[in-house]
Amino acid sequence: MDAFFRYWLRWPSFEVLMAQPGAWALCETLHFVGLCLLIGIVGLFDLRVLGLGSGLPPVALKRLLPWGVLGFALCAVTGALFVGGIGANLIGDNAYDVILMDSWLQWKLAFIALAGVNLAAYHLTGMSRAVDALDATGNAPVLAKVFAGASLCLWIGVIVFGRLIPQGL
Amino acid sequence: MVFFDWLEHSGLSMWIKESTSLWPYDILCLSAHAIGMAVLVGFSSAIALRVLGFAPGVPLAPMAPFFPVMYAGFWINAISGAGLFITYPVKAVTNPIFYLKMVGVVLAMVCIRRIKQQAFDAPVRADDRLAPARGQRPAVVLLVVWVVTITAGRLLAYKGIPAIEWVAAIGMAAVAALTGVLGYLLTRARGSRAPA
Repeated sequence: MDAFFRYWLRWPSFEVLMAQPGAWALCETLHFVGLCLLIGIVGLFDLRVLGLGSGLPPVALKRLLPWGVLGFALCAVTGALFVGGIGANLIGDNAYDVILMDSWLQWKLAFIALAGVNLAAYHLTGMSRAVDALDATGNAPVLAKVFAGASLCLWIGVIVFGRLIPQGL
Repeated sequence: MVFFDWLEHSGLSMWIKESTSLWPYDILCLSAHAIGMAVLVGFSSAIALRVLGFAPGVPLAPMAPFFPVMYAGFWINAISGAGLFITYPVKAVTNPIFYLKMVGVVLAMVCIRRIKQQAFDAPVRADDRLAPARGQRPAVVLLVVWVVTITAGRLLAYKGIPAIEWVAAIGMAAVAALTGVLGYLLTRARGSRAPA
């Protein structure tokens, strides 16, 4: 099983890609640009739900969300390249070992998963519909504010844990 | 340089880089710098996108309370950035990319002020649900400057990379492509909005 994961996690050979001159720095830059888009758009929406910027209709604000999704996609793709191509940065390291041993990476992945659960709960509890129904100056239900606050805290946690990943290698 | 050499070996600098705790360097400098960046760049870019005509249903005036949040992000980064600077000041002041980043930050803050003055402080039209006629130039400049500044900031983590020309070439191409795509989308977004 061990050998199976070691092989398949290495198979796309991101190492070759990430060993190109400048590839690592370029992916880091894209990771940061994506992070700004994600936090900028999602954070704006969360803060509106929490009550800042009253006068902004939440449903109209959602029109900006595709930019946040683009940011998340940039981060997910480059993040996978960092983990899969770790061997290009730390010669001989395998993605399998990094995932198993780097506790900061594990915290980061767990927080991203929790942000996903939080988003799913926001929709499943009907809060998404309740917020969409608000007018420009409407006040969101308390539960929606809890989800928005959790989203902000989780994403800030993701940034901190991400910055600590090198300490766990 | 004597001064920067002294700074690099000062008590505060040594404490930041040699502490066994994650707090002084990894959390209070590095992580805080990333969070401040996300707040400042993220919110200002979102407002710039709105000024350029995206999400035209969002009224502009109520976005004003987000400016103080952005400025908070700026100050988080000024302080955490100063912490990062005094850790290795000699490396920073001898690296041309450091100056590129500083110029980028100043330019970006000027753009944010211009957007505030032109699109927010100017008398608001009766129906501000349309893209404002003003503030679009600083908005485009802001988005481009942010990409360049983030790239420069990232490259500061490297020293003496032979691949730097390669990165610069890709970076320029990326900026050019991004500007092109934004311009294209902008014209489309503006074309589809209601006549004033």
